[in-house]
Amino acid sequence: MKGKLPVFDFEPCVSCSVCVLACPFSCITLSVNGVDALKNLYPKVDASGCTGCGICEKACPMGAIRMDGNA
Amino acid sequence: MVSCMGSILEVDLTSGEIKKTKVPDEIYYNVLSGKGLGAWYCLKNIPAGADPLGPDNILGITSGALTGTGALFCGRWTVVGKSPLTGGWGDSNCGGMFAPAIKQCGVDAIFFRGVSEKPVYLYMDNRTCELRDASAYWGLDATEAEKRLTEDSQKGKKLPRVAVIGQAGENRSCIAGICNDGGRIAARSGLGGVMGSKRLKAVVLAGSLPIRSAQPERVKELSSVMGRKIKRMLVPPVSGAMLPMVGRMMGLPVSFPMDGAMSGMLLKKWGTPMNQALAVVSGDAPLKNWSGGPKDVPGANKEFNPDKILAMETAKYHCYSCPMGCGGMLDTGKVPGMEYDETHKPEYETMNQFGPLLVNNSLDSIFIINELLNRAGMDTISAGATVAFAIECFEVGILTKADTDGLELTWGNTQAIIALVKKMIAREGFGDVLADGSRIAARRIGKGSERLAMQVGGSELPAHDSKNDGHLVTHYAAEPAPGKHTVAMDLMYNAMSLCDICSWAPPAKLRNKKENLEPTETVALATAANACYTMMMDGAGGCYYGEMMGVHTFKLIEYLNAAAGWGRSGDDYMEIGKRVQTMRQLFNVKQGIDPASVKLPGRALGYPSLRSGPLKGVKAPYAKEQVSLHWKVMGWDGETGVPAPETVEALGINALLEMEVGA
Ligand code: SF4
Ligand code: SF4
Ligand code: SF4
Repeated sequence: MKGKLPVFDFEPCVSCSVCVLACPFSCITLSVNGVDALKNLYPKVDASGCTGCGICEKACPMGAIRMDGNA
Repeated sequence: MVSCMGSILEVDLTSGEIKKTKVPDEIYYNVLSGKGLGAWYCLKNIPAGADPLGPDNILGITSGALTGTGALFCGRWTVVGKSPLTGGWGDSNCGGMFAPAIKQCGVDAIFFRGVSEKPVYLYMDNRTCELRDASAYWGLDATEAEKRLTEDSQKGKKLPRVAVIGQAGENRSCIAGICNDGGRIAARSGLGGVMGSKRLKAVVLAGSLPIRSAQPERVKELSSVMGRKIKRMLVPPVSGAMLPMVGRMMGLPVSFPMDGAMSGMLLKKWGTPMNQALAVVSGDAPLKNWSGGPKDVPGANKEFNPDKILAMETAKYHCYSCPMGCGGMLDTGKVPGMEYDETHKPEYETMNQFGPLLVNNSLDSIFIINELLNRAGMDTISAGATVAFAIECFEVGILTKADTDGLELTWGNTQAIIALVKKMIAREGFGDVLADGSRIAARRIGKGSERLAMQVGGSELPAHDSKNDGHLVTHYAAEPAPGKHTVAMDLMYNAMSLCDICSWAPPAKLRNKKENLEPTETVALATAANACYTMMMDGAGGCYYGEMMGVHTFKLIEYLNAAAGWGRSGDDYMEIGKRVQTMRQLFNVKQGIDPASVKLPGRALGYPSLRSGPLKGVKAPYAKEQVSLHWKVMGWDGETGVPAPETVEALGINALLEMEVGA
């Protein structure tokens, strides 16, 4: 059952990796570089493994994830 | 406690038996998880007189009560046990991604006893839990072993998380730590040597169980408010070259309350290396083995300008659940003489211990030594202090080239320092003499060398001068794991507003720094309150830099209440901290440590006093009285430092020690 994919909003995201650990399928990595001047890494989803379960969205403390992407 | 898993894993490495056992809920209620749970278990189960490197010692790997709940700054794991360095209580904590992995395997802690016949590692996931042959990994450095263990044990996409020892731990060095995430290290107290003595190479965790909290929405709300504040925090538009000016201000003889967010701004930009440029000027950094002033390390501010490090940074590094990211990965491909292309950004402690403390003015050598020691799994604080000790022994003629395998161990001889570090890691020649820290080295060398070892109770002093931060006069000596700056400092107390959550913590006020060196009840209340708060925070799995942001930013009490579904007050939580601190001290007493004999070396108290710099002439003449007052506030005997029976009873410790883990 594949639904929507998570979409990350880097504005509120604090690069905390909570979503990385929360994803039961290890689909998220912090790997997007170059978004801010401090060189913080930001999350990215591996669409091929994502089931669209939404666990990451619930776990994110910053409200930085929306299940909105196209699978 | 809802946010804890309620169980621990007990592993007997001699018999190979593994048991998952339930922990009574009263234990969490009284000591939380992490260091508190570890203190309870070790005080109860490590017999008096246990050989720290023998089968009776227990090595505990613990997670925090808030870890994995979505609480920010709560991704620290803590290793506990009897320290081979001090002979008493040992603990150390570390970040990275390992802490939540413990709980995701369904336990709050893993306790190892016994000694395995052959090298092994523990593998654990949701269903499996077994000891596996580690002979293929024994002998590898920690980073390489972690990489291979991760690859070899990965099933599907779930990335296992690994805590592992390097050569220092394998060689049972008393200053070895335990590593994870390619160079983060739980460094202090020598517990990596304990792990090596058990022939336990690694702990590999691949569970994915959920971690709950009683009020997840409230936890999220607290995180979101703090996270937004930190995200928006402006990074000051100052260059690294301007930091010495800030250091000059910090070096003024006044101590004053400030908003902890100040330090957060600097850490967010530079990480801890920002402190190097401040510390030489302010008097925070001990120089030339605690005997020098800024004039003795000319050029240090320029050489250690943190902007140079920023220019090498490829990405920031955040521990799990950290919104700040004081860490960073550096591209070291162009560092002359460096074998590795990457290293974790060195911490201030590492920089000072191998830089100005040794009059070594080479930033490049810091990267080399940082990576060597992180891979070997050796504490950079203890190793640097021990090298400083050796250099001064050489300079004053206690050692000669005949003792040092031909090394010209003079101040600032960068190549000799690097060569010596390699020998210490390999326990080769003169390196073997130094590989267990400075107190043991002084015993081996003799000739009155112990006066040059800057250690307290066996533990080397870190890179903060106690004459500058008077609370450290107490903490370095009175802390059950002595010689640590991470339990509390005046600097931290000024930033925390502890008086707003604790009825007996005095407010920080503008005052002369000298007042911190006097035996007053105000100072003792502040040092005791800070230590108790830190114990409680360690039980939660919190980070020291989160703590430093102050109670109005990092709302630990609210977090714990929301995660556990409790409605407890700040004073209640401070009592938890006092209980844990008292248990750690009881552990020392049980193991035959005489707290009154744990004393700072003369230089740390201004005997002889410095002849130049901001600490010129500063003395701390009341160290004994300061420690005694601190003990009294803790409810311990002011003369002996032994917790008073009434205190032990009032804290309910005896009843807790009677409780057992169950099937
Ligand atoms: S939606 Fe589920 S599977 Fe996809 S990234 Fe989020 S947690 Fe992982
Ligand atoms: S959990 Fe949220 S804030 Fe943290 S890294 Fe993921 S998206 Fe960013
Ligand atoms: S502030 Fe630094 S040490 Fe603390 S959790 Fe964040 S990255 Fe780790």
